Parts: sequence; C-alpha cells; structure tokens
Amino acid sequence: MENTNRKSVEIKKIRGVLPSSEALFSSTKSQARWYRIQEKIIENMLLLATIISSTAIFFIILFVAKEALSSLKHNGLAFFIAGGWDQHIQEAWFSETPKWDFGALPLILGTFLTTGGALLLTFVLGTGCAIFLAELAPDAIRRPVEAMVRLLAGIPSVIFGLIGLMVVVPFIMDNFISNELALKFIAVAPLDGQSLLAGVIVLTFMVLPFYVTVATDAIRAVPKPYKEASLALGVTQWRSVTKVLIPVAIPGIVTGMILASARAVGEAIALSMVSGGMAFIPDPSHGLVFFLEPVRVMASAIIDNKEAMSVKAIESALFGVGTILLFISILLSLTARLVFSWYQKQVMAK
Amino acid sequence: MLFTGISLSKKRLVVLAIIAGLVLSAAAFLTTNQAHAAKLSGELHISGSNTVFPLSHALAKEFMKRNKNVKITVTGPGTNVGIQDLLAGKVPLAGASRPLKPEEKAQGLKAYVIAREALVIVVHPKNKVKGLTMEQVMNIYLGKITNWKDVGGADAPIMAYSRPPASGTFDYFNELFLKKQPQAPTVKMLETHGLNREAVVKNPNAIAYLAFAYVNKKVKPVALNGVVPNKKTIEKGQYPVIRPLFHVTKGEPTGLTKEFLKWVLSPAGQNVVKKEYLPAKKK
Amino acid sequence: MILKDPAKDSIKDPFVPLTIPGALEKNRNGDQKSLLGNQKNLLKGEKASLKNQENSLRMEVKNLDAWYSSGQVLERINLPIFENEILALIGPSGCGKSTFLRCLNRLNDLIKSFRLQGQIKLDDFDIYDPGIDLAILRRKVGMVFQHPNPFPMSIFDNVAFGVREINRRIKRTELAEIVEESLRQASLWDEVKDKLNVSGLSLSGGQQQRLCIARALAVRPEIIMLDEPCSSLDPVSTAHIEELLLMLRADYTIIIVTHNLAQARRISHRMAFFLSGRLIEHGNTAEMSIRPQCEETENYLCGRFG
Repeated sequence: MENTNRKSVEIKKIRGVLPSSEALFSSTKSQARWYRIQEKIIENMLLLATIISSTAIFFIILFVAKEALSSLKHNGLAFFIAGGWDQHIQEAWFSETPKWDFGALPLILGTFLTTGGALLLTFVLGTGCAIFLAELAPDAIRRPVEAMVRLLAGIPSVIFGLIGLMVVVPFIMDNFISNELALKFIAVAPLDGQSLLAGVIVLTFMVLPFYVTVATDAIRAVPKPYKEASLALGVTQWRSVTKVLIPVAIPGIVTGMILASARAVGEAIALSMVSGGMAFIPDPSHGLVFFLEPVRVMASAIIDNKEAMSVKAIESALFGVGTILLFISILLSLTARLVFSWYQKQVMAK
Repeated sequence: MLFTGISLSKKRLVVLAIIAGLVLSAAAFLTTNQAHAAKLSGELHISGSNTVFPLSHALAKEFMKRNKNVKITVTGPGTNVGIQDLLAGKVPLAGASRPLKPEEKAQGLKAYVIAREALVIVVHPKNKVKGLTMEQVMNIYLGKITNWKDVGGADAPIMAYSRPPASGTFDYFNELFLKKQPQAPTVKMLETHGLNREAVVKNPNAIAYLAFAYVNKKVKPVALNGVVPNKKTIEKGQYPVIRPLFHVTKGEPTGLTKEFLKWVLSPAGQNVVKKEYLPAKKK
Repeated sequence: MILKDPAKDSIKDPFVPLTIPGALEKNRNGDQKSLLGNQKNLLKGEKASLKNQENSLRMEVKNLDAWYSSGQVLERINLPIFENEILALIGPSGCGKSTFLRCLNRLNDLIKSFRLQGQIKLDDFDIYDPGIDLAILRRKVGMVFQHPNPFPMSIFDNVAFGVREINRRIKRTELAEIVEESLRQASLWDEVKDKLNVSGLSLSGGQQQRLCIARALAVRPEIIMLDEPCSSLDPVSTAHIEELLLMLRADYTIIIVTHNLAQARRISHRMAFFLSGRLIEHGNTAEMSIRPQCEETENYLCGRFG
C-alpha cells in the first residue's frame, strides 16, 4: 500500500507541471495562430539557409570556372596532359606579350601521388589503429591514445609543415640520399629530402586522425551481437574483427577514407614546405629514387604562385587548377554517396 | 511549475548576459575614446615585400613606441601582393623590393626609397667555397655549373634555391645576376627568405640568395667578386649588389600614413634603418 | 552411448589440426547418412531418449560463482547436463540464466569486469583451464541468441561463414552441401533455396532466427545453447522453432533459456529453475511441474511471480 501511495504522489508531482485538460480549449485562437506563425518563420528561415548555402556553392563553382575558362580554352587538353608548369609561370611573368601556354600535368600527378600514397599508408596504419582502439585496447591505453589522435586532428597544417621540414626532410636526406646519388641526379632534380616521400609521410599524419576517428566510431558502432555470433561459432577474435566487424563497418571506413582524401587533396601549405617546391614529375624508371624526387601539388601551386596573379594568364591558369581541385572534391563527395547507396543495396536492402 | 521556473531563470540569465555585454562594451568605448585624446592615433596596415618586412616591422615598432595610440600591423607576403593590395585599396602603404614598373606608375603609385640593402649569396657553413663571381652565380642558377668542385668546393652537387618568379627579390636577382635568362628547372623556388635560409641550414650542398637582414650565423655569406658582404663593405658601397628598398603609396599619402612616412625618412627613422640596413641616401 | 570424437581429444591439445565439418559429422554418426535417413533417425532417437533418462553426463557445473562489476550474479551453481537432452533454464528475468549460459561457452570473457569461480567441465575437461582452445570449445558448444542476428551477408554466406573459417580451402561443392544440410535441419531450406544470394537481413524475424540456428548447426556443434530464441518472434515462428528443436534433440544436447513456462514444459526433458542468481531446483520436467520440491519453484510455476 505504502508503495502505491508514493507512486501516486509522484504522478501528481509530474502532472502538476501540465495544465489541466480544459486548457486544451482555453488557449485563445490568436495564441494558436501565433504558434503557427512561429513555426512558419522557423521553417522559412531554415529553407533560406539551405538556399543561401547551396547557391553559394553554385556561384563558387561558376566563378572559379569562369575565371579559368580563358586558360582552359587556350590550352585545351594540353592543360591536363602537358608539363612545364614552372617554366610557363616564369615565361608568363617576364614576357612582354601575354603568354597563355600552361601544362598542369605535374601538379595533377603530384596531387594524385601524394594523396594516393598518404591514403594507402593511412588505410594500413589507420585501420590497424582503429581496430586496436575499438576492440583490443584496455581503457588505460585507449583513453590517452584517443585524446592524442583528437589533438593531432586539431594541429594546423603549418605546424605539420614545420615539423616535416625540421624532422622528416633532414631524416630522408641523411638516411636515403647519398652524395653520389644526389650528384647523379643533380641535372634531373635536386634530391634534398624535400620529396614525394616526405609529402606522403607528412600528409599521412595530417589525415590519419580524421580517418582513425571515423573508422573507430564505425567499428564501435557495429552491433555487438555480430561479434558475439561470430565468436560463438568458434571464430577467433582476430578473424571476427576482419571478417565481420570490418565488413559491417565498411560504410564508415569508406566515409573516413573519403574525408581523408578530401583533406589530402586540398592540402597546400604543409606540402608546399616538404614535398619539393618544384613542378616535377617523378620518374618511375629511376626505381626507388622515384620517391625521393620532388613534386608540387595543385593546392600548393596556387599558394606558391599567388604573387604572380597580377598577370592575367597566370591568374587564369591558377583558376584552372582550382577548377580541377573543385571537381575532384565534388567527385569525391559523389563517390561517397554512391558507395554508400551501393552498400545499402548490397547488404542492407530488404 | 518546475519547468517554467527553469525557463524563466534561463531567460533571466540571457537578459543579464546582454546587459553585462552592453555595459562592458560601453566601458571599452569610453576608455578608447579617452585614449584618443593624444596627438597621433589610429591604425595602419602595411603589406608588401617579404624583403622589406623586417625593416617595416622594426620601423613600426619604434613608431608605436613613440606614439602610444598608433597601431601598425605589418605583413610580408611579397612585393606584388602588396602592390595589388594597394591598388585594391586594401592597405594605404606597401613595402617593395623593386622599382615600380611603368604601368604601375601609370596607375598612380608612388615609391619612396626608405633604405638600401645588400643581396647576399649564402651557403652552408661547412661549405669550403669562400667566394664566387657573379658569373659563377649566374651559371649555377642557369644549371651550367652543377658541381661544387667546379667552383673550388667538394665533389658534391650544387642545390640552388630561389624565390618564386613573382617576388620582388627574384625580379632583382634575375635582372642583375641572370641577365633576364630563365633559371634552370632544377632550381627550387621557395616562398620566403626564411624558407630559403632554412634550406641552406639543413642542406650542406645548398646555395641561396638572401636579403642581408635575413643572414644569421647558421648560414655563410660568400664573397661576391672578391668582396665579403659585411656591414663595413656594404656601408662603404664596396659590395656589388646593393639595391634600394621602397615604401609605396597610391597617390599622395595622407593622415597617419603621411606622418609615418615622414618619420621614416626623418633622421629618427633612418637611425632605425641604420641598425640593419643602409640609409636611404648615400653619404 | 559414448561417442568417440576426435574433436573431443583436440580440446586437450589446441594445436591439433582442424578437421573439416563434413568429416566430423561422419565420425559422429558412425557412417554417412542421407539427409532423409538422418531425419528418420532423429525421430527414433527422440523416442528413445524420452524413455531413457539416464543419458551420459556431458557437462558438469560445480560450485559456480560469478561476478560482474555490479556484484555477484551467480551463486553456488551445481548442475549436470546430459547427452541428448533438452534442458530448459527458467526463472524471472535478471535471475542469471543468460549469464549462466554465457559461462558455458565463455562468451562472458568479453566482459572486462566479469569474474568467475568454480568449475565447468565438458567431458571431464575444465573449460576455464588456461590451455583451452576457445575456438574449439565454442565450435563444440554452439549458441543462438535472443534476438536474431544474422550477419549482413547473403543467406548462403551466413551459413557458410563458420565453416569457411574452420577450413579455408573447403571445396565449393562440399560447402554448398553443408549449407543445404544445415538449412534443411533448420527447416529453412524450402523457403530460401531460390534466394541464397539474398541478404540474410531481408528475411522475416522467424526466418532470421532459423537462419541463425542453421548457422550454428553448420559448424557441427555437439551442444546447442539457445538464449530465449523465441522472445522476439510471433507464435507461428515460435511453433516452427519448437518443432525444429524437438527434431534436433536426438543428435544434439540442447540448452534453452526461456521465459515461457509452457514452452519449457512442451519441449524440455529437464528444467532448472534460477532465482536471483541461485539455482533453486532442477529435475525432470514432468516431475518438477507436478511436484516441485521448493516453495519458490511452486510459486513461480503457478505464476505467483515472475
């Protein structure tokens, strides 16, 4: 009895907050109308925000493409498949008559090489790290490591560039480049440690935290029954992770990879500091020296050559590079959507 | 009642916060207004040359010490960016490490020589090479000399560093050393003097050109045409590569900009210049 | 009937090479049986085991205590589990039935704060011995969970998953045979034979649970544990699964946790009644239903609480 008494008291306490049922009818019409207006205002404000942000993106694309048009028109396909960027910049800058010839192939390749290399390393290191954090690590290790990963994500890219320049570049020069090697290649490109390899390493550490955070969450979000079911079948912990948890977490992992690649493709400052400062195309026929040769990525080229923007031809060519970057990022987000819907169809569909 | 109580106190908090904010900003407004009672006041932003940046910075610091209510910010993205900023009306004053081009003059820009300075060739302290001729420097940057052995050094590759083509310093270097020939594709172009210096510090085979103000103990300036660059040789005008540095305005300077420029060219301002640079006027 | 099983010996030595499930099956039944023959045998076996209550001891739990971080959850449990019986664990929710079940295949090891004292023996081997190969233990003691949890893969891959993990070089045809057999055993074959490549998640709840049973059967366990397998299913699916368990019991030892007393009475040989972490009483289902020894059991069976 006592128990039920207390319950009813509690219910009264809660009910006390609500007005009595008559209030349902006593609120005036004007009040009701005011609520409706409020809702409408909020709705319309949200709509407005959506319109503004989407049109902003539209106008950015339009603006960049418009500026790029004259260079792209002049160069045509050559803009994408011809080299000589640095020379073209010099010529366009010093020439008395406007020079419109530009070839951005070294920049495009540089971007793909650094991004691809960094993504590969990120996938290997990051997936391992994510599995460790989500599945294996005891709390005492997991917490500080997760905090560190989050901290890493917050470090501005200039700092990464500086550390790369102070640590990674000298390390590469001291350990991989002998005097003889540098002498042999001096007519091709100066091997001074600022290289594709340095770019890939620095870029990896820049995008790793994003990937690890997303991938860890994705693995952690896999419903526990999947893992239990696998373990209960006599499958080992490790195989359960790789065969059940990872496949289920794939959308999250792919999302993490795309996030990482979006960041990697657009990275300018750090790469401009460590990857070489030369629009050079590394030559695979040089063997492993390939990785020690300098590259310049698209985003860095825009930053490095910004001073020359006062020359119309250079400005337009830089916007051309910007257009490529823009399309790559649009492509990346489209791929993300496609992969996701494909996955849903493949696995989750009813 | 419980919930209404919470929302009421929330509202109160918001109101309180707004009032507090108003009071604080009013107070701040009053104090700044009081401070403006002094003679010279206001803000000035200087953009422009990476070479002139340390000088502008030192001048601004001294000027602010003398005029407590003036705030001057200085950035050094490069001569051409500064000139663009100036033309766009973003800044009233810009540093420049090269003379104005005719078309720039046509747009109403005016340049004032505020100092002169040496451009020095630096190498790693361990490098045996003590001096180069201007022709050797040219051939190095044209890619015709690639081994230190050929200029009296060790058997090692010469890694040449330069500034981007659009920088004022490169303009100057290109004209004076390279006779306007394009530098070799194997020359690396780094954004700033600082990055060029770091490259030389890190790389025993490196060579780069720096504004004299950027030279420190970690790099070795080499003699050019037999003259070692130091304060004495530069001041006496013995060192061969001395160039003027400018402050540029659009049209006649006014207000704070005018006062600042006037002070820079006055003996007091030139005393600051003399600490690291040559004064604007030759003795 | 005591079975000679190579897998049994392998518990002693975790490095014994894995035998393929097909071979295991052969050994268990002494010869190769057609599926139909197998089912006939199942029915015969059912009758036989109903009569014969003195089956051989398969597992034995001795003085089991268990703790979570929240406190003790199992206290002094002593319970034998016999070959080819259906043992129903009953009791109100939170009484420790599921925890007890998860002790038997050491799935509680996943919980960091879990601690255990006492002994659980499978054929005279202590399963908490540090030398035990967990993979082999869990292959012998299969488990079906409360909520159907098929993997987000095709129906075929769901069933084949465990088998592939045991023998990664298994032939496609052999694998298909095992999958079909397991699905038939789980009476799901006829419903899914035309859509084996469809995601397991596309099935209905009852079908999903039978898929999970097929998945558990595919690795040829000896003991199957089911943790309230019907709690989230409709009556028709429940009836389906009960039928299925009755068919399976000749070949397997089945431990089922259930909330549903009527279900326990319908399908089990023996019942074990848990209350607040203690095993109050266990015994023959019929006897216990008519003449419970303890008052709590009687109260529970009469529906006075729970």
